[in-house]
Amino acid sequence: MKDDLLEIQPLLDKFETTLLLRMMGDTPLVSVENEQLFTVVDFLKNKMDYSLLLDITAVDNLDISHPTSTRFELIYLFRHKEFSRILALKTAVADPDTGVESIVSLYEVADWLEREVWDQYGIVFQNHPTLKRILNHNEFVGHPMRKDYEITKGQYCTQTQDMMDEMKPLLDARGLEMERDELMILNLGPSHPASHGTIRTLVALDGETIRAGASEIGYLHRGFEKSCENHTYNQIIPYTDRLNYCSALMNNIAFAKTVEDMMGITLPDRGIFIRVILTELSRVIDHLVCLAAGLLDMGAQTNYWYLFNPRNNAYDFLSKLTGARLTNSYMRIGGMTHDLYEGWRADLDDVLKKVDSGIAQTLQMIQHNRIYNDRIQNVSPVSAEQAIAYGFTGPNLRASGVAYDLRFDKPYYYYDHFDFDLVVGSQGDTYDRMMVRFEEMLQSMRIITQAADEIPGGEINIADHRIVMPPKTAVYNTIEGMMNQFKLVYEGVKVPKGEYYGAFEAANGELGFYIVSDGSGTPYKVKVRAPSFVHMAAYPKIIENYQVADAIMTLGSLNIIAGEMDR
Amino acid sequence: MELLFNIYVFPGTLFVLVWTVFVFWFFRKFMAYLHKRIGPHYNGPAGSLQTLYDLSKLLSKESITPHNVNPYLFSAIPILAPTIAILTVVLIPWTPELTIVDTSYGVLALVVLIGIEPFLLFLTGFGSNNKYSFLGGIRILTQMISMETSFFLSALSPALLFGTMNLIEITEANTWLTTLILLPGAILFFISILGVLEQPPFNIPDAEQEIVYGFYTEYSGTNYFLLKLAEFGEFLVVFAATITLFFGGYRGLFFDSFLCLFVKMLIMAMLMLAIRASTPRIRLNQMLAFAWSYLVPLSFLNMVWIVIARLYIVGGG
Repeated sequence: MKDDLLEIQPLLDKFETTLLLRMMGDTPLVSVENEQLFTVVDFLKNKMDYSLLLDITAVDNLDISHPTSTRFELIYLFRHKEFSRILALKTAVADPDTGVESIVSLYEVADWLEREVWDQYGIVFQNHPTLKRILNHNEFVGHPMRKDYEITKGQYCTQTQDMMDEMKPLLDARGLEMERDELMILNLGPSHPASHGTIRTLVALDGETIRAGASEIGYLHRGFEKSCENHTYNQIIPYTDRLNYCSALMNNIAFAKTVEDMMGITLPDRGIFIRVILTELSRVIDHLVCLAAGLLDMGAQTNYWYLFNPRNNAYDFLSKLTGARLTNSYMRIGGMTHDLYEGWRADLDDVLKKVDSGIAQTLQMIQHNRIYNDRIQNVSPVSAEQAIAYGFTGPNLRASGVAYDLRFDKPYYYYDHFDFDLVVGSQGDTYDRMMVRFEEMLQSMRIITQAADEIPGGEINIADHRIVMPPKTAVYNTIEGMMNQFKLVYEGVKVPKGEYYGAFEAANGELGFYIVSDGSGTPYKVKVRAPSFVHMAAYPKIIENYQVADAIMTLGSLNIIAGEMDR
Repeated sequence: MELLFNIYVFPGTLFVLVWTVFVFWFFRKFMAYLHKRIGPHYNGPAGSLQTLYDLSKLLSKESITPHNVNPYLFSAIPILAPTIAILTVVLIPWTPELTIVDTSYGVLALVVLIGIEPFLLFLTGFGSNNKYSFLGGIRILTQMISMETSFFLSALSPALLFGTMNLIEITEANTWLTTLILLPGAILFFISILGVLEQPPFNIPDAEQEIVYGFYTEYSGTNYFLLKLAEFGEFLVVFAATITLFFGGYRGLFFDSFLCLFVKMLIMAMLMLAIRASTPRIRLNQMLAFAWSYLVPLSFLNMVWIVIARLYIVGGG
């Protein structure tokens, strides 16, 4: 903690108005004056090497009984170049209509993040190039994340937008004209065989070459963050399943871990090991889906089955363990629903063996396949600097040659004790993005084997029955057990007042939960830092000047999961 | 009477229909085997009736004609395409006795009738008033023009070697030696027909994941069935043509019959499916580069080789 304070000392020295408010775990939260925001961020980026902008979000203080500042506050989360440290900036917004200065000129990723804040909270970012709705429909009235917007209030929106307000400036910037250059506007999506969910990308085609592109997302927006505000923490866990539905368990674990870190509790070792095993298994499943679908987009059907069959076996295992295949909801705050079943090890080994042979067979078919290599090598390369500017994390960032993996840079759950390798690519092209995933699956399986070998006995849940459900015998026979059960069901787990940002190395990148608690059983605010959201923002930029066929492969290799992106 | 039998039963309409139903099932089953799946299973023995059900389903569904298209063009092509595909069967010597049109321009007529098919499909792309169909149409045209040269050149190599364009004479003249001499030509021809028939790795025009279903996109119901029938009719004709031109047609090791031709065609279908199962699709510009910088020069080289072989090996005049 001391080191972290030393690290931000230059900032506090340079700007007198900045003030260290408190520590969120080991993340310093610094308050900044509204007017100075841009200069402070500039200083952070260029002088203090906070090069990765993680997230921008806002808090509406309307329901807080004694707010310390204005109604709206903005929170900026930055990650240092060395990746282990995070810094949070907080700035009070005096008037949402004048808002604050946009930082798009400093961080490219801020474009969509600021749009989202404007969409959800109605806070204006001055000098933002296209400040328009992103998650909600373009006909939507009001700003849903404000506390005075009722959770149950739905709106019927029917008209689609033609997106030319975004496309026109892009074409103008490139000196292109629709008529003169004989461009054709084509919608790739929202319902397109390769859009992997409902995503719309408008492209201007010159023959088959994409000259400019703009994406519209939000087709799967279901107000996850708003729904969190009237559910208890344990009730939110099934919702997290639906974020990245290809690796549902991982989202469960990430959310539960963030809340546990907020409360300062640590699971018994057996619980942690089970979580590690399931996390890595989910990562394998997620990568299997991504690669299988990506290869299918290329027309390599056989590989699809070779990769999906073992995925099915993995789901059979999960179904036997958790009772559900896709949306498991197996985790709880403070542990999980039940222990591993008897004979799990044999089943798990069987799954691993099948996954291994599936990967081996697929690699046999494609690794030295000239068509495969020629198709995706040097397609949409993203340099390391660009990837960081775009806010990439996870396999997509590692493919660009940046060795950032939270499991190495900020190990949790004994990841520093397991023996596995960090996988990095070199070019950041579609080929690297796919091959990094192949290798990561093999590394994940190494972790699973080690964790399964070393798994200790004992409890899986913490012993505090104010947090986890008491056993049924206690509920029926003792007054304490009865009361614990009652309080847990009706009020939920009480999380101490404060805010916290929890980061987790999910299959797609850094999955972060920014949670504000007011001390009750339901969160005051939950914000998901969804990796797919930022990856998607970069997608229309990196497909430029490549062909339609390349764009499809790029989308597959970025592994955009609409459930997580649209929330 | 015999002519009527030829037109409606063998090798005419009914034969093509039965072939479509059977080969569709065979494709699905064989692909499933390669994919480690089961494939059609429930209807009939080993799911063999599945295609029949699919067919009847397609026939009973509505054929939607979109607004703002030329209805004559839109509807004419699903009729024209299978007609031309089925028409081609008259040229093939199916059994030692049965060739309906025995002409001394057999090879030329065959090549022209096979080569005309993609142009019809290209018209569907233009007639659909859909951007994806349009892209599919452009792609099919590009691909056809690129693949045509090598397709024609390699198809002519047996004619050059045997000095005749009559398909029966070509079949009868075939020996083990000529098959070996024609092998490079056969390989070139096979690659070219993968392009002409839009089969992987050249299934660029109807690349499902890129341009939805290419030129097929707007077609449904009976129209779609007719286009599929045309596609499988093309398979029939092209397989039979390849076997006739390069691998001795109906002639077998022990006896000459239609069965030999059929078995050879199935082997070819399996080869095509194995390629389909094992290769990803290539990109349009890669296809262009491949066709013009490898296929076409190699086809010319093949012609030179055939001339040399004719002069010095086969000993013709």
